[in-house]
Amino acid sequence: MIKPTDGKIGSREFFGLVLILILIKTTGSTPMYLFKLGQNATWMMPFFFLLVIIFPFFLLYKVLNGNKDKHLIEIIYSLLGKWAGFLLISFIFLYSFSSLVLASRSTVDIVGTLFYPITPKIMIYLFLMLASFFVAKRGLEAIGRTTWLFYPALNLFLLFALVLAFPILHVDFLFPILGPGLPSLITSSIKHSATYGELFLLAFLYPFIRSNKDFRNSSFLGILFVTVQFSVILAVFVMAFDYPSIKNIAYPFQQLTRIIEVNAVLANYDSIFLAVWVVASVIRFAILLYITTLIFAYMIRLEEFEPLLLPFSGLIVMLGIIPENPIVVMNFFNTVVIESGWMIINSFPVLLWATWKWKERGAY
Amino acid sequence: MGNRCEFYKNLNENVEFLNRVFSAPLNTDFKVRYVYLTSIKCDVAIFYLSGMVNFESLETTIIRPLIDKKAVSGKDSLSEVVQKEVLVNKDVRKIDCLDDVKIEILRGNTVIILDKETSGLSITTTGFEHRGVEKPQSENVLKGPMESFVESGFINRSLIRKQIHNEHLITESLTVGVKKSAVVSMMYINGIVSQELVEKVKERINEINVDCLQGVSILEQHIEERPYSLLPSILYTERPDRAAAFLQEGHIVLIMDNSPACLVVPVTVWSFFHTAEDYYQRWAFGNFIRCVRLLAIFVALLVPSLYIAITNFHVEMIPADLVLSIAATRERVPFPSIVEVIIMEMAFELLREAGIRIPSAIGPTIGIVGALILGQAAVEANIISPILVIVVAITGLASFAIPDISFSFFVRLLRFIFLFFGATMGLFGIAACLTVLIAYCSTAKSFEVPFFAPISPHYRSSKDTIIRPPLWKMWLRPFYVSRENIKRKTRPEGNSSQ
Amino acid sequence: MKKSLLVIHIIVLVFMAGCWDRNELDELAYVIAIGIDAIEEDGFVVTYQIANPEEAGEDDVASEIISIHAPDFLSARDLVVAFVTREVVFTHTKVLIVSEAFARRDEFLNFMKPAIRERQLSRKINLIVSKERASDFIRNNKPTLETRPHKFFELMTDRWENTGLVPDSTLHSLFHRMEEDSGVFLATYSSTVQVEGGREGKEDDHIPGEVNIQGGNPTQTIGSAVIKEGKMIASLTGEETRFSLLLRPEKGIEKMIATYPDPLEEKYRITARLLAEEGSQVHVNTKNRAPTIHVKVPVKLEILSIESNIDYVEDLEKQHLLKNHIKTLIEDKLNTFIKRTQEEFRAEPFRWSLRARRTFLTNKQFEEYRWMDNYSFAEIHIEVDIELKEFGKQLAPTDMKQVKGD
Repeated sequence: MIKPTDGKIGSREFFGLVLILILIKTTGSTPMYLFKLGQNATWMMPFFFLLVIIFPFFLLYKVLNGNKDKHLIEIIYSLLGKWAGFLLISFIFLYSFSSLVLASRSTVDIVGTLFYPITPKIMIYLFLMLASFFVAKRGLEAIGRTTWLFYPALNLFLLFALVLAFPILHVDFLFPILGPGLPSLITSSIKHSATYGELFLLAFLYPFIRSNKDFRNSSFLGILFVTVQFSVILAVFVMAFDYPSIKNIAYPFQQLTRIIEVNAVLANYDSIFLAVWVVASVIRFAILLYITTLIFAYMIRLEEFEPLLLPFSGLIVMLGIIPENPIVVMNFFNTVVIESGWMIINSFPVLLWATWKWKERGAY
Repeated sequence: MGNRCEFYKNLNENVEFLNRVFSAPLNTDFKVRYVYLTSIKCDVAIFYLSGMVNFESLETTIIRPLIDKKAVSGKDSLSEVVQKEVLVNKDVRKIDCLDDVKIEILRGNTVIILDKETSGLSITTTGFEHRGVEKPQSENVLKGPMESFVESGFINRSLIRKQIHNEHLITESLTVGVKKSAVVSMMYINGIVSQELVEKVKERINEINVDCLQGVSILEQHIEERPYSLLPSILYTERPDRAAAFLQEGHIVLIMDNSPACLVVPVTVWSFFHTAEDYYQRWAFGNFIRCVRLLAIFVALLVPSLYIAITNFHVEMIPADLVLSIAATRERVPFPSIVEVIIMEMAFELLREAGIRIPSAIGPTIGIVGALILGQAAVEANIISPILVIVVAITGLASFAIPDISFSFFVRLLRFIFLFFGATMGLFGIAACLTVLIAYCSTAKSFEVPFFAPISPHYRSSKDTIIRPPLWKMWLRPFYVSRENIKRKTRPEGNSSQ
Repeated sequence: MKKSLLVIHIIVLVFMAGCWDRNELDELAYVIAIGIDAIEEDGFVVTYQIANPEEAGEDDVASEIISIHAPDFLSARDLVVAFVTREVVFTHTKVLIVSEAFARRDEFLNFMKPAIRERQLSRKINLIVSKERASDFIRNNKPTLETRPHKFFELMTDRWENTGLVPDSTLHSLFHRMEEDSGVFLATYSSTVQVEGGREGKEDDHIPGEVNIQGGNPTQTIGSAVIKEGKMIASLTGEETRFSLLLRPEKGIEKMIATYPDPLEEKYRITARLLAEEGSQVHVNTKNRAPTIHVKVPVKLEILSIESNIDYVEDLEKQHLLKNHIKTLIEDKLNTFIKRTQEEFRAEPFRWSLRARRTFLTNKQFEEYRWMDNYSFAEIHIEVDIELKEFGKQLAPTDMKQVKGD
C-alpha cells in the first residue's frame, strides 16, 4: 500500500528473468549446435561462456552504476555521440530483434514438428506471439511478477524431468572427458558466448530495477546459477543420448521428456513438459519483445514505447514465418546471430567503459 | 416544499413543514406527538417514523421523563436544559438544521422540537427487527467460533468489538449518496492501518452518487476497481472473527445495515483462498486443508480443459488401458467430446442454480435428480461417456471447495475460457492462456495492493500465503498494507515448545 | 468498439486453429505392435496389430491384425486405410517385431531409421527379433492371461530386469549402440513356433522355440539376437544373455535362478538364486594395441534347493567347497562365452567400451584406437566373487532316511 506501484521490479523478479531467459535456450535448438562443437564435453562450455562474458559484463555494470540516473541508451548516446551511438544501438537492436525473431520461430517449429504437425505454423506463431504480447502489454511489472510466480514451478518440473531421467543416464557417456579437445572447446565457446547475450539485453532494464544492489546481486548470482544449471542440463543430455547420437537428435529436451517414464504404463509425459515449456517461452518472448521495443523506441528517441508492442509482435510473426524450415532458421541463427553477435556483445561494454573513463579523466 | 435549513420560530410551522416533507397524513407511519413540559412550561413535539423506532424505549426514555420531570435548574437555552437534565439516559444530539431533522428521522431516530426554539434534539431510538446471531451459512468451520454477522450494523460492530479489545479500533460513520440516508461504518485500527488507505477508501465511498445503497454487496460493486473484470478485488465475509483478524493486520472493514456480512479491503489472492479454519486447526492440519483447497482451485479451473486437451490432442499421455476403455465407452456417443463437456457443464451449472433457487423443502430432491437420475440416464442413453461424468463431478466438487463466492465464480467462469483454449490448441493453448491469466492477475490491484503480494512482488512478510508458518512465527504484519507498526510482536526466540 | 472487434478476430482465429490436430480418441486406431518381414522381391510386408477398444468378450477379438506390402513401415499406414476406417496412430505402440530373416539382411538398419524420425513412435518401444515371420509371430501370439495385447507386451518387456533371460532392447539403445559403433547390440529374441521335440538342456540354455512347454501361449521369449553394425549376426541362448548382462559395468540383472551340478554327487543338482546387486567392476587398460581387461563379477548366492542330502549349510568346509565349485563353474562358462564373442562376433556385448572410454582424453583418440577391432585380441581376466548369502528357510536338508523310518 505504502509502496505505490513504481513500475520497477525487485531482485527476485530480475533473478527469475535472467534464469528463464538464458536457461530456456537448453530446450531449444541451441544445444544441437553446441553438441556439434563440444561433443560430449559440451557441458563444460557454459563455464567458458561465463569466463568470456563476465569481464565485459562487469564493465557494463560499472558504467551503469556510474551513470545511475541515466538509461543505458542515453549513456551510449552521451558517451559515443549521436552517430556512433546510433550505430552501436542499432547493432544491439538488430541482435536483439533477430534473436527474438529466430528464437520464436524455432519455438514454433518445435511445437509444430513434435506436437501439432498439421496445424499451420502461422497459427501457432500468432498464438504464441499474441500471448507474449498480452503479457508484455501489462508492463514490466507483470512480466517480472509472472516470472517469479512461475519460477518455482518451472524449476520443479525441470528437477522432476532430471529425476525421472536418472535411470537412463550413464555417467560413462561423459568420457572421454575432454571431448573434442580443450583448444577446440575454448575457441568454440568464445564463438558461442553470445548464448549468454540476453544478459546484456537485460542490462537495458537497469533503470527499472529497484536498486543498484538488486541488479548487481541478481545478475551476477543469476548468471552463476545459469551456468551451473546450463551445464547440468547439457551433461544430462549427453548422459542420456551419448555422443555421437546427440549430434543427430533434433530437440534433445523434448526427446528426453519423451523417453523418461515412471514405469511402462505411466509414460509419455512430454506434453506436460510442453505446457511448462510454453509458459516459459511466453514469458521469454514477452520480455524479449519488451526489451527490443524499448531499445527501438529509445533509439529513435520516443518516450512512449508501449504502443509499439503490437506492431512489433505482428512484424515478428511476419518475418519469422518467412524461413522455409527449422534448419534454415537454426543455421542462420547460429552462423549469423550467435557467431557474429558475440563480438558486439563482448566489445561494446569495453568500448563504453573506456570512453567513460576517458571522458571522466578529461573532465578533471 | 424545498429544503430549508433554519428552524421556524413557531413550533406549528416546524410541524407543518415536516408534515409536508413526509407527506403526512397520507403517510401514516409518520407520527407527531405533543407533550406539554410542566417543568419548563413549554410545548414539545415528538417526531418519529413508526416501525423504525423502538416504542418501549421511546416511551420509557423520552416521553416519561419529559412528563415526569418536575423542575429544572439550568439557565441555558431550553433545548440544552432538556438535553442535560431531562433526557439523561439516552444518546441525545442537538440539530441546528431543519433538513437534518429529516435525515435523523429517516435513520430511525426520534426528534423533539421545543416551541420557540430554533433547534431540535435527536434521540437514538432505532429499533429494527432483525434475526438473532446465527451460525454462518457459507463459511462454516469445524473448529472455532460459530457466530456470523446479521442484518444489523450495530450488532455486527459489536460482534467485532467482542473480538478486539483495543482502544485504537475506530468506527467511522460515512454517509453515502445524495440523500445521505445510508451509513457505512468503516472500522480500522488506528496505528496499524495506513492512513493513505483510509483516505482512499473514504474517497471512494464519497464518490458514490446514488439515492440509496442497500447493503455491502451493492457497496462492493460501487467501490471496486475493475467492474468488468472477473477478478474480485474486495473480500465479502460473514464471519466476525475473520473480519477481526483482518483488522489486526491493518485492513479496513466496511459494515452496513441490512447486510449479514462485511467487506474487507484491500485483499490479495491469499485472502480468497484462506479460511478461518486454517488458523484454528493446528499447523499441519491447517496447511493440509489449504493444500487441498489449492488443488481444488486448479482442479476446478483446469480439469475439463485438460481432459479435452489430452483426449483430443495428446492421446499418447493416456496409458493404453485407459485409452482403450475410454474409446470403448465413447464408441456409441454421437457428439465430439467438447460438446459432451459443454452439455455436462451446463447441466451442472443448471443443477447448481436450481439448487439455490429451489424451495428448501424439496431441496434434497434436486441432488438425487441431478446426480443419480440425470447422470446415470445420460450415460445409459449414450449422450455422454461415463468418464465425463467423473470429470464434471470432480470439477463441480472442487468448485464447492473454494471458500469465497466471488473467487468461486471467477474460477467457474474462467473454466470455460480454458475449455475453449484446450479444445482449440490443446495443452499449448492452456499453458499460454494460463500465463496470460497470471500476468493479468499479477498486475491487478486492490486499493493499490498487488494481487499476488507478498510473493510476487516479493516483500518481507509473515509468509502466510500458500502454506502458513506456525502461528508464533507470524510476527510480521503484511507490509503491503501498512508501514506503521510492522511488527505484531517481537521476534520470537527459540521454538514453540519452550 | 475497437476492443470488441479485436476480441472477435482473436476468437475467429483461435476457432480456425482448432480443427487441425484434433482427433477424437475413439476415431483413432491404436497400433500396438508393428511387424516387419522382408519378402523375396524388393518389398516388405508390414503387419499392424491394432487394439480393439471394445472389451474382448466371447465374440470380440482383442485386436485386428493386418499385413500389407509397403515400401516402408510408415507409409504402410496410409495403405491401411483400405482396411481400417480410422486414422492409424502409433502413440501406443509397444513393440516393433522384425523377422530374423529380415534382421540378417543388410538393409535392416536403414529400414528401421524412419522409426526414429516419426514423431508418434517413441524411442522407448522395444525391438523383438522373431525367429519366424513377424506376421506369423503376431498372429500366433495369443496371450491367455492378458485380454489385451498391449498388456502382454508391456509386461513382457518389463520382465527382462528380473530374469536376465532377455536383454533390454529399446529402439533408443539400438540406435545408440549402432551410432556408438563399439560393440554389438542384443535384441530380444522370440518365437511362437516350438521346435519339434525341443532341445535337452538346463533351464536357461535355450533359444526361443526350444523350450518344452505345454499349453498356454506358444510365445517363447528367451535369449537374444546379436546385432552388429546394423545387421543380425548370431543368436544367444538365455544363459549367454544372462552372462552378457552380468558382465556389464552397470547393473543389468536383479536376480536369476540357475542350477549347478552338485560338487560331491555329480548326478544331483543344486538350485540357487543369483543376485547381482551391483554391476561388474571392469578395469580396462588400453596402453597396448590389445587391451587388457580385468572383470570382477560380484554375485550373491541364495541356495534354494539341494537335491542331494549333503549338508552344505552348516558344514563350513562344505560350504566353502560349494562356493568354489560354483565359482569355477561360472568362470569357465564365462570364459567360453567371452571366447565366442571374441572369435565369432569380434565385438563385445558387455559394454566394456564404456570403461575403455575413460582411459582416453578426447574423442579423437578413442576413435583412432578402434576398440571394436582391438577387442578380439583383448586379454581378459574374469574373476567371480561369490558371496553365499542365504540358505532359505531351512538349515540342513531333511534326512530322507529318517523320514522313511529306516
